[in-house]
Amino acid sequence: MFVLSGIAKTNAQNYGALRGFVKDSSNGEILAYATVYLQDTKQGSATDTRGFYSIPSIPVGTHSVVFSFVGYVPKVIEVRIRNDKITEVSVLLLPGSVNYNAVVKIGEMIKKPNENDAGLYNLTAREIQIAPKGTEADVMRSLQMIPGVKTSSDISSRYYVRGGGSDQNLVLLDGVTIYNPYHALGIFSIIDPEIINNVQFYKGTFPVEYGGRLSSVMNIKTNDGNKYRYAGSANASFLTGKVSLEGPIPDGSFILTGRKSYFGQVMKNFLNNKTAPFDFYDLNMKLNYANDDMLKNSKFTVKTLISNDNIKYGDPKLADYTFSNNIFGLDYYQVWEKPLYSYISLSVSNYHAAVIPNFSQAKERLNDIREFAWNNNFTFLFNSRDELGIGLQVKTFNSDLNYQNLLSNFVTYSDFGANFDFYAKYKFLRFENFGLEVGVRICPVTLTALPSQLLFPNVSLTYRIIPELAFKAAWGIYKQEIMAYTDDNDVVSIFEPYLIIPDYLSPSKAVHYMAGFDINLSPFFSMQIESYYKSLLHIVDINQNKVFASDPDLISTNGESYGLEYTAKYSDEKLFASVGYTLAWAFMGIDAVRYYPRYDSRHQIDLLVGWDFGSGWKVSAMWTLNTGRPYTQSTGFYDKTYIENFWDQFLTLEPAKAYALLDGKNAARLPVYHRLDMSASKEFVLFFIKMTLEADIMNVYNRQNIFYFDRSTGERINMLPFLPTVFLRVDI
Amino acid sequence: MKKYILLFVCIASMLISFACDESFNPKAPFKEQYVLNCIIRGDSASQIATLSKTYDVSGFDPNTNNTDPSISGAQVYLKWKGKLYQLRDSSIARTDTSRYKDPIKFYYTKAFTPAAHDSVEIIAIPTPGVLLTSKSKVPYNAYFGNSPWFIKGDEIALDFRWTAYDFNVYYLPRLKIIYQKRNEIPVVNHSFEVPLDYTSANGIETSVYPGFSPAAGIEFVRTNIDKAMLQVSNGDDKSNYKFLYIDLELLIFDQFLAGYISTTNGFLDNLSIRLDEPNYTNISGGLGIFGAYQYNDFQITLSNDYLSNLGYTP
Repeated sequence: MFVLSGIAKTNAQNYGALRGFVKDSSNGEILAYATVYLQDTKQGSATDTRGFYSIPSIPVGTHSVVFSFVGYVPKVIEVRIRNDKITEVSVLLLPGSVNYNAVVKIGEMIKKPNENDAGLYNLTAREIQIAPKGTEADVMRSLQMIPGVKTSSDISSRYYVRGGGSDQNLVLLDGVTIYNPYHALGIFSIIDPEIINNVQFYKGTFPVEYGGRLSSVMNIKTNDGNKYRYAGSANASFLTGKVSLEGPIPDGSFILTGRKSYFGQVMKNFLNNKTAPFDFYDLNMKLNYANDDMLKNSKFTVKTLISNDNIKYGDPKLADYTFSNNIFGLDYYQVWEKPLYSYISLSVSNYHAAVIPNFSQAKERLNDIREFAWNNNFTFLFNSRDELGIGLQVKTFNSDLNYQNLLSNFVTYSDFGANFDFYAKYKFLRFENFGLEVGVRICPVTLTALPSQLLFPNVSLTYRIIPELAFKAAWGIYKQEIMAYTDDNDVVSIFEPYLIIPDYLSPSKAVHYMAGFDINLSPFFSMQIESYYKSLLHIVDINQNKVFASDPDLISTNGESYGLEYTAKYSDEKLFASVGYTLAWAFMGIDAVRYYPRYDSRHQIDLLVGWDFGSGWKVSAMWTLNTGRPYTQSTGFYDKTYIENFWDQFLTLEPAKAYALLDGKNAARLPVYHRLDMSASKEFVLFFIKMTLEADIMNVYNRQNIFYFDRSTGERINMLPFLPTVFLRVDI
Repeated sequence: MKKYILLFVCIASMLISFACDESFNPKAPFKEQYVLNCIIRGDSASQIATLSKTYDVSGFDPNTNNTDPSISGAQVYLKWKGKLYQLRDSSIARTDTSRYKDPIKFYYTKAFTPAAHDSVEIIAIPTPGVLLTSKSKVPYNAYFGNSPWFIKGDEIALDFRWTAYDFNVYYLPRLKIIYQKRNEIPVVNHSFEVPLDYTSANGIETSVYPGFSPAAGIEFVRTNIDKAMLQVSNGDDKSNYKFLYIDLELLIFDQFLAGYISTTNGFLDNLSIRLDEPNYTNISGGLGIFGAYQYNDFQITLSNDYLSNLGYTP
């Protein structure tokens, strides 16, 4: 069926392997997705998210190996490969601005032509930084320009991937799960972009090592800190002040970043409640230790993230709010003498959210999540280039949720559970133009009381038809046992608690199908077309028909989504341009009443252009268009009796308020959304201090994009207006 | 140069045209429905119902409707113990005339006082061919066996507990001090409501009173009761006041009324925004609510020591 070339190497031939790390020579940071290729054999690879690369089955002899990465001067090293031996070569690349881009791009085209990366989008630091920031660069806002990723409003970093709910997205910071990784109603993520080294984003069909969510995985790797010198930076915007400090420690490095909100005026432009006294901070710390004398080719990491949001009015008649995320992790990464590497980690992730009503009418709510995780991952590289990955993930999970439901009942969900998930995957990479990955996740112990299936298989394949064209396809089954208790009717929700799916409901399940093409027409220009279908089963939703206290708070529903995504990217040393288009359908409640969820949008276009003019000047522009989101029309009004004075009046003669009667749920569409953001920045040196001044404009032509329509007053609430902002960054 | 100016003007014009608002209609075709509201009182023979219909407005703001949607002249019946009682058509003057000028139209009967757990059915015919019906039951009385019977003066709090016999009912308690003024003729019983708590903002103290709740109990701390007792005389000669008892009043709402009130009190907080509130009705054939509530009270005696300690004459 397939025409396969580059038949697997046999043991009778003489081959060796090459492996090592690629790092930045200025600070020792690892370079993820750097390319390594042999000039003569055209064999190649890319570094993984830890900067590690491995090229097996290299013919014995001396080879010229090219190491390259965007923004760095390529390095060519003569390497001698010995029979049946692993040669270790780690290189440091020098940041530079010479015209090297063609070399880099050729390397990118050679690296792993049969890589099984269906659904994977590697979000580069360049993409995060190049997009107009509005208030601040934010990794989750950057996601929203990726085809297949949608948001429900300008004010929220919350995202929806290929028709799945926002709680179906797994967010990992150095492998540790973060629950509700947002500041200030979701306007920003709690992950400071200053610490990000690289981001892997799976839009679906993610590999078996990732579990527990139905729709997407975002795996963020943070910087290790400068290994050679102490450095610091300060960054000021209208919203926050940030400082970072990094430097060497004996046999390692550290990085410490802190961010604190200090001026809420800009943020209030995002909010309807202009008086909200938002106050937040986050603190990241990471220590790395690697001593070859103690343990060769090993690395130990200690990391922590502390994030806190407070909204305290100082008025007992108003509710106060507090949210916090605290994570702590220990990692041990080892490259063994054999072609084996392993990753073991222990981590704790705690989330706390509380609405403290004081003496307001707000409903009291409290959510605590405590997750402990132990991850073990082993990857064995065969001489045939095949790879075997096995792992064990153990997680314990405590969730406490106290709240008043729609009937003002005090409800408590308190649950404890554990997952013991085994997984194994085998990558057939022995053919030059064909790759197949088969994996299974085995889940014998589950969090939920109702049983789930035991095996969650996953298959993905890549067939490179010609060097410029590859066909990719994938299929997988996923489950989720933790849910966010969120109401689809809330356009802004400050409290989005997580809990284990209650005993009376089955765990949620998704089946993903995906197929598409990667097209690389030139070293600078690439295109990707992907189609997908996702079936969502047992999705837990709030019971909107709850009337009596004995009615269940939650119900199970189903959904499905499908669509087509197109991405085109052009990138050279001066210009970065990308075009994204999505044609998508999403449905929920298939068995009951089929409706479009609020984040469903039929067409989406994202255009991003960044231009480096030289002399420190950079400009960028981003234009987004979404066809209208669903909303529910009104079919009329009636004067509804709102009983407020129970004691002193005839109850049915109380003053009534106009109440809108609703048509079919989300059966109509809002007008088309579009917005242009622009940015210009200038780097300069003042008194030997490097500074960057940036001016951004959000919604350049002041498009009146509707946010929601207040039925009780007939008032139309729009999203962000024309909004200019300025940032100053100081690097010491 | 002219070319650049022309190009700039073209781009600016295009962007400005993009910024323009698009026509947007949040309304679907109007559907006429009828609304029936009636809450049966377990403590009175006076039963009231209202009947209205849905309406539309030319714009989007429903508050621009100035035509009273109430319906008079319809047939409204209550069925109790197998007997049908027709409610009379009536009206009273409206205190708030900012929206509607007409008097409030309602239907009433004073024919019966339903006892605890009596079933009552409502039947309304707002217009020929339209039938609205619903059923409810008056809640049982609460039993206050686990509540304090008197204040001695050494309590930290008064913890009231009651037992109810219906599912899904909600409660609204109120604690009142009942007193008389010794030199007042004729003798009248006065009352002063005891706050559940006090809040203070910008130096201004505000009283907080109990709210609607499914909890079968409530606790009042003694300091708040003492404070309320002292507020009764409010600097006046304390010997002029004669305290009779403290009264815990309790409204018990049936499950339908509880559900309706809950869904109309869906306020979450001052930051979250909910677009579509659930609309609960138990009226078959229309909208509105048919529920029932029961009134109970429970008296607590004030000991002489307690009154003396507060400076009052027992």
